[in-house]
Amino acid sequence: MRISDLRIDGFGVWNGLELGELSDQLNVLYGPNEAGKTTLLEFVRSVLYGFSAERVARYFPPVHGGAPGGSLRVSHGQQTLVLRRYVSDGQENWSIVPLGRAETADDDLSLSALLGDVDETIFNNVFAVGLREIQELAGLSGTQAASELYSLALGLDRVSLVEVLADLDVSRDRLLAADGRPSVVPQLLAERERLQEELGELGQATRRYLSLLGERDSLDAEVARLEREQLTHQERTRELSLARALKDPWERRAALDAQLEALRKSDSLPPDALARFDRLRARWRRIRQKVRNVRRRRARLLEQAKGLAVNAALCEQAPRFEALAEQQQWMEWLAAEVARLEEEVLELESQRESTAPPNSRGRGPLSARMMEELRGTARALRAARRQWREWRAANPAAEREQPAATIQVPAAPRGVLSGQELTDSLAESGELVSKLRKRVQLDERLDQLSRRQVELDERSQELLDNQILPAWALGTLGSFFVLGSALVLLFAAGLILPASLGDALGWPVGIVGLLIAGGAGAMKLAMERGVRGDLDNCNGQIAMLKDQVEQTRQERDALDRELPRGGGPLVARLQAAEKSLAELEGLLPAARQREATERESQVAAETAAQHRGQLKSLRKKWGRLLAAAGLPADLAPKQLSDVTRRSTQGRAIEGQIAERSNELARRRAEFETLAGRVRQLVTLANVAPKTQQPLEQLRQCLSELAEQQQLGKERANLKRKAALFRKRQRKLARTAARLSRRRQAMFHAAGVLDEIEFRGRAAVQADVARLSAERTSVAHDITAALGSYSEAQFAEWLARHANLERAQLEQAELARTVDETLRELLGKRGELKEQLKTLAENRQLGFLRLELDRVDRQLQEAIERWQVLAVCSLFLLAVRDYYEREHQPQALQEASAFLVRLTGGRYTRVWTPLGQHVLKVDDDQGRTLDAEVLSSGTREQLFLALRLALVNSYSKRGMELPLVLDDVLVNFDVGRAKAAAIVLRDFARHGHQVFVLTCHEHIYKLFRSLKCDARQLPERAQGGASGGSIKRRRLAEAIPEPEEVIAVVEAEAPAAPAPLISQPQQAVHVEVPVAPVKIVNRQPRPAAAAPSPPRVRRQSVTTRWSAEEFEGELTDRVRGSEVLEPASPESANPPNGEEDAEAA
Amino acid sequence: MSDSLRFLHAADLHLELPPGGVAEMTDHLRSILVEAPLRAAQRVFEAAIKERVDFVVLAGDVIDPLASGPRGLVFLERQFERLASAGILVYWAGSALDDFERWQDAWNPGRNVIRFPAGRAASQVHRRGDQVLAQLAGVSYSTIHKSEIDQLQPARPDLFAIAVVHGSLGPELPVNRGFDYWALGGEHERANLLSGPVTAHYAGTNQGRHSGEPGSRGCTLVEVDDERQIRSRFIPTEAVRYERQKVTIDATFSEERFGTLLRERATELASDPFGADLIVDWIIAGEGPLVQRLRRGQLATDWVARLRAEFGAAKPCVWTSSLLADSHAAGGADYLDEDTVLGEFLRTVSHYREDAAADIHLESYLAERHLAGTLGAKAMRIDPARRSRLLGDVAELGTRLLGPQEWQP
Repeated sequence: MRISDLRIDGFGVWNGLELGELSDQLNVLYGPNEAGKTTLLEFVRSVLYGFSAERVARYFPPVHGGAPGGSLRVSHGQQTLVLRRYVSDGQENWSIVPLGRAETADDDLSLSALLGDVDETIFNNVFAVGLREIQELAGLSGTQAASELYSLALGLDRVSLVEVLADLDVSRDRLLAADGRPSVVPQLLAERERLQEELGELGQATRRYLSLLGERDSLDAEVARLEREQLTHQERTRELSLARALKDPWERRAALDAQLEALRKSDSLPPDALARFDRLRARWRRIRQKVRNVRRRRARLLEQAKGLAVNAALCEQAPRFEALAEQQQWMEWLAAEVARLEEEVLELESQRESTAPPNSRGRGPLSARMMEELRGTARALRAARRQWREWRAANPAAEREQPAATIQVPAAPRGVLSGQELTDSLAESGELVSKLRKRVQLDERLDQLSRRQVELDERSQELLDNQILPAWALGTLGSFFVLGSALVLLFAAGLILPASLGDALGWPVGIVGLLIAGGAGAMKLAMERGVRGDLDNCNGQIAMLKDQVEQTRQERDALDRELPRGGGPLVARLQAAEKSLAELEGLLPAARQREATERESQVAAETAAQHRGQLKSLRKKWGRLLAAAGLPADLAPKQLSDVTRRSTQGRAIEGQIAERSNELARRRAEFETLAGRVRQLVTLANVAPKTQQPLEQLRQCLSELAEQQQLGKERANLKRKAALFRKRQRKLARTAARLSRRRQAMFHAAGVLDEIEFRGRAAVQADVARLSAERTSVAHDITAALGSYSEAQFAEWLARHANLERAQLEQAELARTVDETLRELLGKRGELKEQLKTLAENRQLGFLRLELDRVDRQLQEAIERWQVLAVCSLFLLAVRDYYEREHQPQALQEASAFLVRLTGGRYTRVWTPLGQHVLKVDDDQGRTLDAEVLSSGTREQLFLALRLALVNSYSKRGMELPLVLDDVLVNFDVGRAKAAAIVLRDFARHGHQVFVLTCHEHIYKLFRSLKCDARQLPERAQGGASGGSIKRRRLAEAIPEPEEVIAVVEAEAPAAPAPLISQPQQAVHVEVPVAPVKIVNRQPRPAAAAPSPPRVRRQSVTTRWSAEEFEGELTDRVRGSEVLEPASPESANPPNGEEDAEAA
Repeated sequence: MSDSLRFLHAADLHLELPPGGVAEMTDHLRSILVEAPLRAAQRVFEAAIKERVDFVVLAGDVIDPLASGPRGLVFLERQFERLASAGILVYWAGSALDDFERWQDAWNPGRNVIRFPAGRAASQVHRRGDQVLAQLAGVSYSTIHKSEIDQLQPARPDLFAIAVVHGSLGPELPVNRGFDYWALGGEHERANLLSGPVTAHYAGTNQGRHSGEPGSRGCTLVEVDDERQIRSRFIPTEAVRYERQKVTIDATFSEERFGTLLRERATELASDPFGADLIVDWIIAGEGPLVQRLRRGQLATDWVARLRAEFGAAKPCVWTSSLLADSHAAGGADYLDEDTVLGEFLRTVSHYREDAAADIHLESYLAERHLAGTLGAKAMRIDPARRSRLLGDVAELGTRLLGPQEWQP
């Protein structure tokens, strides 16, 4: 946007001011103080950004009247617009109208686009500045313009290098502070020194230990010497004590020796003679007492034996009774069998009675023949009656007339049999059934006999096995036998060796031994005999049973020969035979009827008389037969079958009765045989039977026999005991005699006659023994007390020390002195040992070494960490310097170029440190100065350069606004003003519209000398208002150029035209005095060096920068890179460099 | 020589020097570390008794009496007494640390201990009963005669000859000197200088002293048959072992899975209930957000605390000394070509990496009083060996400070 015309209707002091045909480049407006230059500046601000309350209060109402407000004609691109802003009735009205179009109101969007989003603050501080605004940049704080100045192009990583450096400094100082404050490493060093000192102190422990070891060794030697001396004193003390203690026993022993010498002359007995005599005497008296006792006991035994009465006859029959006793079970079985058979016979007889035909009690069953006759007669009779009835039914008139020629005859049964044949068959079948039943009974009998035989065989085998006695019995009996034999042998040894144990135990042992051995032998014989008797009895029963089996088999074989061969098992055959018999019995009436019918059919034609005669004869015969059979006369022929059945059953029962009777008879015979033997033995044994029952008699005899045998054993035992006592009595008598002889021998040996004299000698001997014992005791005490010393040494001590007590006291004093010294040395040695032990167990040295190692380790780690931090800081500072040097904001780089020109090369660079919103200036001496320390003129040059750079920067971004400078050159000297004028002129020639408002005429002239568009503002006082318009005119024409000014400017102008934008200066002044770090590879690597991957433009997601900031930075960087492209000084120089020279 | 021979070769016991290099420790670990030199040495002497050796050869750096204190001397005396009870002699060549010149007369370790004289070569013949088994020649350190190794010569060529020396030897020295076995000390790493007819062997230290000595440490059991054929066997004796555990993870690893992996590895390390206590440096390699978080530090610190709490008080103790993300993996190469502050920073680092002659001056960060003292020298000294790692750490720190923080939790 460029202002081409300006019109103020009323604003402050201005009224009706018009500035037309304004230059697109530099416009210099000259007016003295109070001319309204600042009002003009404020008017431009107000039209573009509105009348603020402050401005309204200051500039309204206009001093000289007129409509409050004004307008600007601006060109924007190809458009020409008119901006109008007025205040009416306290309301602000403004418009923007394209030239040639009707007015439109409130086109805010158009104004915003016109201003290029430059807000009022930036405009007031960058584009329209007065002398006051240009000297301070605080107004730009927080604005985009500030970032234009202070944001270094740091690339895309968006880290705060300053923060990082600060963090590194803090971390590094924490480890090792550069300013010497307390930190980790010095602390660790101090601790290390402390530990080393402690280690040094503890290291002396070894020397002390070895020194103590030497001390201990010398102490050990001294202690050993004293201990030896102590032993010597102890030895002497002990000798003296011993001498004092043994002096009395020594003298007593000598006295005893003298007494013994005297007594031994009259001592002729052996040493133990009296004791031996006493023992011999006591034994002799004991033997005598034993003899009396044995004699009494023997008489008592004989008396008892005599009192035991024995049945000799019974005892003589004992073997036979024993044999019978073996048959006792057999007899009991036979008796039971006889009783059972008798019961069976009685039962069968009762059955037979119940099955006998009626009215034939006591007759027995009918014979087969009789039965046959009866059956035939009955059938004939029934047939005759039936024929008669049939004939009469068929021939009702037959009695009156001749009988019918034909009679209906029933059909003959299958297997036609005649009546006789049927009768024969019935007899055969009945006989067969009877034989088969007997055959089955024989088998059962054989089975019973076989089972019994097996039992007897087992019993026989058992008895046979028992003939050899079992091991436990043999062992027990053998043990008793051995025990008895041992006792007997012991007794025998006593006889041979009087001093042995057998001699002491005497006869009773021998007798008891004999009894035990004999009893064991007898027991063995009795047991063997009993087993043998049982075996014989069992064998007899087996033989008898074999006979019965053989007999039964013969009977069975005979029956088998009579029975037809084959036909299957006997039971099946029996059932078949019984069934056949029943069928035949069923066929018999039909056969008879058929015969009768045939006969009737044959004589059908005969007369009824014949029927009647036949009936009559048959009835007579029936009656006769009934009478013969003993049956009732009124028995009807129909009842004959019942009679027949009963008769058959009766016959079967009869057979069974006969069989049982036979067996009963055999059993009775066997039983009677045994019973006879029992009765015979009872008689021979002279036993009075209490009953007639053979079995009971046998039991009685056996019981009495057992009693008699027990009595016999007891009597024999008593006799044996008596015999033993007798033997013992004799032996004791012999012993007593022997002892008596030995006593006499002792008297003889002692040379005495009797016991009294013997005991006198013994008393003398006892005195000798007592004195000898006392002497032995004293001698033993002396020997024990002397220990390793000899009696000769003791005798020498006694001879040497006349006064033992005094010598002992002197020796004790010497020993006590040595003891005390030794005790003192031992205590000292104990202390030394304790110290050595304490030193040897002290682990403190190891812990200190470990602690020192830990501190060393921590120290090393801390130093290494510090080095990492320091190197990192060093490198980062180098990077920072590089960035501060090479990556200054584009605006500052341009400002540097302007500053060089404005200051004539005295100040070469303006720059901002990384992360700080301050500006620094480098001079041509390489020094860096803060902007605040510059002189006000230089600072205004700097700020002018910054404004120019900012305007240029905004312009490049499309925000082209006129630059209005109000008296900013007022503080410049001539040279500075000239340089500033040239710079402003050149700046304007680069497409920027610039308004320079000045109150100084020399400035006005200066610009004019540079052929700039310079105007003089009208005086406000003229006509009470500014009035009129200032038309464009060449200043050169209006105001003659002051020559002296030009000369001054020419003298201060730089020798060579400085480029508008120079390259960044290479000289860097770093504030922190660090060693130089070489920054390398700061430019992109050449493609030929290596096929490096394309650089990555990372979009960071860190939280330090917002996305908007990032986008802005990216845009800036791209634009910055465009600006930073290597540019020739020529391109940077204004094309009108020649004009500068020309102007100069 | 007609009979076989067996002896134990140990060196650098350093009874005075507990294992270190641990910046943080508990009382429990402190006790373990203080006792570690004695426990490790005890295992050496127990091995000698258990293996029924003929003698023990100690090649210097056994004990500094001043630094170890009386406790070390008493301990050594008792161990020598145990060997004496088993009929085992000790041949000891002293080093500057052992300093026989000062302590030879002041301290008598026992009659079964034969100390080679300081500064003078001496020879001993070892007998088993009446039978001569071998000859040993050795020399101890002396301030006057610093090198008497050239004087070492076997006295009898018919016997198996052993030279006992503490110090660094070139491989050419032991050849053709007439000795069959050179028992060397002074190198903490076990190594064979020569092998073959002549064997020159550094037994190494029996206990690692810092994280730069990882793995198992011990002594050497040497068996010589009647043909003078030498066979040696390593016997581990360390009481505390330094371990470097590298854990590689990728971008898919969650913190939970990472923790499980660490715990499994720690449990595996502690699986031997009779094994040595362990001091572990964890190195986390790989890429991904978890590695980035570990590089920032706090997560690694948390895991160090957890591992110490879980395994630091166990038996055996597994003490986490450090847990670091592999710095070599964090090169920041992606940013090197960027036209950013970070790119500029990394290019600067890269320049100093490539130009080893370029000095880095840190004086400006030190106070005047520090500059003159040892602290200043320490702080300003950057060892050439450490320079690369330092610059790597600087690059990593710069990347972390200046780079994007995509994985900020």
